[in-house]
Amino acid sequence: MTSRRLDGTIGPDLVVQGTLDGKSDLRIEGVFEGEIDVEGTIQIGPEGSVTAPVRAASIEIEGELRGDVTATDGVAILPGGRLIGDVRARRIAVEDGGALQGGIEMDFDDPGAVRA
Amino acid sequence: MSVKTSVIPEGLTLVGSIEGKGDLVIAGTVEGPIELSGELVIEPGGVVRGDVRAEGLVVRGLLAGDASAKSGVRVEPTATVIGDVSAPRVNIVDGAKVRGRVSMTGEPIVPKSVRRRRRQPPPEEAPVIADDHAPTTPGMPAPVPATPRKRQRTRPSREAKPPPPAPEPQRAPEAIRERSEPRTAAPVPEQSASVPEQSAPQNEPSAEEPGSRRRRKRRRGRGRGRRPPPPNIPTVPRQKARRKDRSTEAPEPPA
Repeated sequence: MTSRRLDGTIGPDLVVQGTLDGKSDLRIEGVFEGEIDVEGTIQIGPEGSVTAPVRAASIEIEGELRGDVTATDGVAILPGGRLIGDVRARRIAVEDGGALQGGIEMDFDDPGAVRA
Repeated sequence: MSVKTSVIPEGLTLVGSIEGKGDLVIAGTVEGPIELSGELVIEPGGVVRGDVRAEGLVVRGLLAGDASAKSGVRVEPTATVIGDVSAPRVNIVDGAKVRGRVSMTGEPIVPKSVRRRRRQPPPEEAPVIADDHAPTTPGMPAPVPATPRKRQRTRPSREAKPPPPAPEPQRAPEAIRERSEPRTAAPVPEQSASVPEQSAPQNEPSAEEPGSRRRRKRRRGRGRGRRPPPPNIPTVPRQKARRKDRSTEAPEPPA
């Protein structure tokens, strides 16, 4: 997951409340509270603070996210990022300096019960 | 950059409120109030359903809600506005669809060219103008002699005055005097009354003392870039501070 320039931005001095949904990518550097359900990438910048359940294709966290997260692709918690909530995704990466407080539920085929 | 421009991209819908600082461009849909201390632009595909308060507003898409701006509102041809709009200046470009009450709360801004036109006769060969603005273009309709020092008056019948070519050449060398003359002529001659007459009162100031001309010229500068009044030394006649290329009389040397 790369940090590329995204379509949408919520700037650092903005406070947005409500339900966000659609097909675009979005970078949140301000404050968001509500729900997010997009078919794109959500990036939370270092100053960003999101209090919302998030459903997205992929989620990159450099700021703070409080809420459960469901990604069809993957979740990345980058250095400085904090996720407080459960994660449900196909891939997850928590980098050195990232923080996760919650459960991870990953969908993969159980390669069989661990055999003693 | 101090404050960043935020973007709600096309394809995104927000049902909720936005508030804060900085500029915001909406190409998606926002249903809810927006309160911004920056410039809000609603792009052609953008939809805002809700009341908007911003520093400045440019609508190119759909705005359904009341809008109020601190500096100005501009509604462009691709825009549809349904709601009341209130701002010191509201600019609605031809083609825009607007339904609602529009209130402009600010002072009318008279453009420089109109202001100039109202005050001076248009010189044929544009002489250098004393203190303020760019030279007038020839062929402008003859100006209305505004009452002295009034700047933004309601328009008198400017339409009735085609530029008279005949009097202009004789006016040109005395353009400086004439320019100031209409403003101090006590009975303001309505130029629509008779065009030849205007040359008559305007030729008179050539007979007047240079000092009054100077005084009039100073009056024009008032409010614009004021000059300090010339010193009132009893033994010294008033100096004419002319630009070199316009002096018709040699300035008197100080005593």
